[in-house]
Amino acid sequence: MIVKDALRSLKDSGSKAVFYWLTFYLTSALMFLFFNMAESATHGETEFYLTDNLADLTKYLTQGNMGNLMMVFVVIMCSIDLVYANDFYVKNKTKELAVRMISGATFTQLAAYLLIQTLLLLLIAIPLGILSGLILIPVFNRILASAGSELFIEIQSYGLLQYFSVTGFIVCLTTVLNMSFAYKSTAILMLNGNIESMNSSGKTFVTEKTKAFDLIVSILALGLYILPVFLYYRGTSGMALYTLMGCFALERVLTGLFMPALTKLIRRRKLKDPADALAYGFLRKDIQVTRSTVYLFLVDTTVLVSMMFTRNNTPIERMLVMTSYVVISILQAMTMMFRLETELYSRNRDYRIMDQVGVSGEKRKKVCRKEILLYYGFVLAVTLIYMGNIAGALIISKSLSAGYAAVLIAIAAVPLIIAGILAEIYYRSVLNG
Amino acid sequence: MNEIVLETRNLKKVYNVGSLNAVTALHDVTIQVRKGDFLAVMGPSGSGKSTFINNISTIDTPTGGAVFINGKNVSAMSANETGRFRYQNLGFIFQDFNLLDSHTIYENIALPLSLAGVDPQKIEARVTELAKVLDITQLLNKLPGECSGGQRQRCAIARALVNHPGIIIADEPTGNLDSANGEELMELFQKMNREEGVTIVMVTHDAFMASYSSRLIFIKDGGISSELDRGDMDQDAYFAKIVEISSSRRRRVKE
Repeated sequence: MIVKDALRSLKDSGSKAVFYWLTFYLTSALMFLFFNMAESATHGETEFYLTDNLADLTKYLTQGNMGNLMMVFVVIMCSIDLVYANDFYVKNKTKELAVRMISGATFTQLAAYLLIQTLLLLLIAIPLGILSGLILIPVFNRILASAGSELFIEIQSYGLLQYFSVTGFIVCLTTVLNMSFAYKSTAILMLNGNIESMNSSGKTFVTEKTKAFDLIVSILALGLYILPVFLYYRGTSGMALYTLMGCFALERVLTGLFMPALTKLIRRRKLKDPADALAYGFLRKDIQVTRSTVYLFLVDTTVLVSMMFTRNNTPIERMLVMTSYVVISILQAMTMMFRLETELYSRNRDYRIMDQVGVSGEKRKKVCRKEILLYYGFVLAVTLIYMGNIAGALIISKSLSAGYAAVLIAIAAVPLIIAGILAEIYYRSVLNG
Repeated sequence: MNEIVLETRNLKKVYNVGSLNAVTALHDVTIQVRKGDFLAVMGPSGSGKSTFINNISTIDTPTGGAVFINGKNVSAMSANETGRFRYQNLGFIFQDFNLLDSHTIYENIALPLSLAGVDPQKIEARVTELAKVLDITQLLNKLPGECSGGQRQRCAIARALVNHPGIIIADEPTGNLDSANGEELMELFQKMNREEGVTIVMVTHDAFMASYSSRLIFIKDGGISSELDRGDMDQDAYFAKIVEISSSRRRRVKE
């Protein structure tokens, strides 16, 4: 009965289930390619190798082995993406879960109900991910041959072992997430759609008074945020570190300068155009709840781009980084979309209030369009400030052609733009629903 | 004297515990509900009546105190025990009906029984029986979206009754109904209470709907401010008494 219900729930979830599945599929395909490429390189006796066990990890990392660094980085990033995708999928089912709870469903039944859906999606994603990997390997081999490499990627037993170990980890991770959601949720929180209070620490983003000291710190943070833009031109080594530093500074810039400025803007606009003020108000909340995913996106993309050019990489290393860059860019854009859509879904009360204050029909559509445009504009701007300058620095140092730089920027920007379009479609469906 | 089926001892609920915004919604509420009681809970907005009903019925977790249903301390139950306990003892009815929109009325009513692993033939027999009693047989293959508010609330009642619970918990069940449907629902509650001995705990803000009950408590500022037992009063006299108490409380608040 639970299996039948879970299947039906998957069918009812429609596009949400497709996006959730897409995360599994992309992760699966990336992992399959990644581990087999890396293991093929090991057998090809290049300097590129993965650790045989975790005890060796620190040693290899300190020796600057990129394979280990990549392995840790890619696995962590994929896990974070999966956490957000799972969050989005499960939280869209809060009412359904609440109704099951009040109908007498036990904790085990709820956890099993969610887990079966996840496992079914994984069962379809894994073979298709492997199949995609198998199709791509010959393509990559041709590219490697044309680049003059003697390396040949083939299916490696150890690569498969690593792939299945990581996939097993993903299954365990989603199981723990779903069980914890079923355990910690009370029926009343889910019935009220009060999913934010399950996660939120109750902090408010907008400070009422910005003291002189805070202002000075925020201005200094702005300087630190801009500093990497100049440092990129001094050399390609350390780009990832500069970006990381910039992200820490960005947090302070957002809380200390950007948000108070946005609040002032909302106050001014409220009198002139309430719909406009609503869009800015929602933008403020969007940035508040999704800013960690924005930082992740920024760090991921710049770390991977800098990995491509900070050393004399072998062709397979470049290919590995490029593959990871493409997949992680897509996954991160999806993650950001999931996080935003979870926020949009939890706003039913706000939408009712919008109706009550006369913001309905075309006005509501305008608010929705403006909010999405502003949000994705913000994300793109924050990303492109760094990405554009990294590309510029690489072009100047003749590490990169202008065409290749445009491709790299497009790989980061296009998934974001598509995610923005999908987010607006979803937003409209929530408003109309 | 009838046995106690529901009891709270020093029940407390605090929202945002540990933060500067902590709000005590219920404080030290102690009450006993006996088998066959039809208890109405009234109070002004924000008084804590919904918090009270949620915390006595396992759908929210109290911050302090204890809740006993049929002698069992529900606060001490594991997550799995709570699910089974709900199935065996409680039926829920809400203002918003809370039906699954993608499931037919039949599937919605059958849900508690399917979750408990009851034989499909027995499920069909029980759903059909209840549908006849509640006059919703013609709706069984429809989706909730295709039914009126009154019809949806009847379906929600059928789902709440399908597992023969001893206690019905109803939070503003007439809130989304017109007066005719609301009165019809109250007559149904009264019938279930009198003829089948079902215990009902119902939150309402409407004095007339409350006049169908056998006992009434007023909640104010998170505590029980007064109680009223219907005794031998007829409905009109009981209603007049509720209105009187309700308005005198309002006057006191004004003064």
